[in-house]
Amino acid sequence: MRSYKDQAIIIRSHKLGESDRIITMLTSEHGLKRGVAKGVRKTTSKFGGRLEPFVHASILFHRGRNLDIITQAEVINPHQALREDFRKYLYGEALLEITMKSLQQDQQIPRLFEALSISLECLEQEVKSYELFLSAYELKVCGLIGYRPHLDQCIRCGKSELTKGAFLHLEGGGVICGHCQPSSSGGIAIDEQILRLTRLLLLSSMEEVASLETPPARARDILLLSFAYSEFYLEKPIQSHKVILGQLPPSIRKTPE
Amino acid sequence: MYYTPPIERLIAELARLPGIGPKSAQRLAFHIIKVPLQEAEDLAQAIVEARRKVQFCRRCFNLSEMELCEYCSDSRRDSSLVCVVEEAKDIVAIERTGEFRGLYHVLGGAISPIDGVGPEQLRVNELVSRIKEDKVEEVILATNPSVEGEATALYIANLIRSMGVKATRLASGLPVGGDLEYADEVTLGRALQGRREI
Repeated sequence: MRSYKDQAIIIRSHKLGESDRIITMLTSEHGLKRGVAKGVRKTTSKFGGRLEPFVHASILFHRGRNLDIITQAEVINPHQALREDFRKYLYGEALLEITMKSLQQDQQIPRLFEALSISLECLEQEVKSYELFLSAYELKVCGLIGYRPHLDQCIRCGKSELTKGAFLHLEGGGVICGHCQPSSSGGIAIDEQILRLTRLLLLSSMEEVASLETPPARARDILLLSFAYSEFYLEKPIQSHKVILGQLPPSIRKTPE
Repeated sequence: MYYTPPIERLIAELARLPGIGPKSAQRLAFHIIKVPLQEAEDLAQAIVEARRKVQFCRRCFNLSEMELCEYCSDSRRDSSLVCVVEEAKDIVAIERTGEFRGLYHVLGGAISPIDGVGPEQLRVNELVSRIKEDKVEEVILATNPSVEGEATALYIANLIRSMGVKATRLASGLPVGGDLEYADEVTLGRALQGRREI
């Protein structure tokens, strides 16, 4: 079959030639795909705003030699609210970037499409703490690609009592208790409340995370923790992280260690 | 090395241009080799002259030969009205309409977190200082009607509204000469929201 249909969430696009674009998208059945939309930059293009970031659309592809050609697009959900609120746009872009960077071209990870779709829908609604929301998504995506952080017990001795303080050990993929933490190993110190809240983020659905609240400074610490963890395992810098840190309220702004 | 060194160098330099791959660079290089010497010299001179003489306007960051661009130095223009655009080439598009008599401000792009571009990377602070110093009354946000352009317009509108300055946005809707049945949901929705009485 030269043509096939799939649902996709548009992540980003690049200009190609005079009026075309290369669209990067997460599809439901074919994973991360790049396709060519011909003439999309012309004002009379039939695609119009259907291939803009955040749009969830049903797309008809025609197999090409290198990249497949997008021949039709029908909007399922434009996620309009993410275009009308700057903060929602900012965090929405971070969700798209982390999703894109967790996959290779044409790689398919079960449940990732569903996770992104649900998260974008939640982000359109009321979110109590955007920092917690993004942290939860990043840690859950790490989990989906096989790097779920182990936060329930010490990854060295197996003890679940972490009363003497805990440290997030990036290379080990989890927490180390105060007894096992050698002074020179460079784990990130985390207090009990942050640890408890981070565990809760991993266990809760994105709908539940959207209603969670915590003091802004603690939300920022969890955000920095999830940024360090996701960048370590994705082995790529996440561009939107520095933009988000620059837009935090001045009272809690802090550069990552 | 397959070609003689000067051609290799020309191909390598051309391939550094945006949108030019190795094959296109090779095609352009062979075209340059084939044209009369005078034509090749004119091209080289045009590149060097543009690079040497063109600078950013001190006030609006449009491209200009002088310290102030032709719009900023024109005293007949309304300095209380500023049109904010993403790139200098957008000014040309607006000027072609012949409808605008105010001044411009070139941001140098749009906010795009996925590309690492935040408000700090754009000329937003310069716009804010200009609004304060030049007694601007209205700012027209003419960024592209893309997701990035809309977000940039939202960010700037929030910033300048708190300064008591009127912020307006270019209308968006159906293209002239287009068919309603082919309009996408986002554009048609916008056109309905922004409908006006006739």
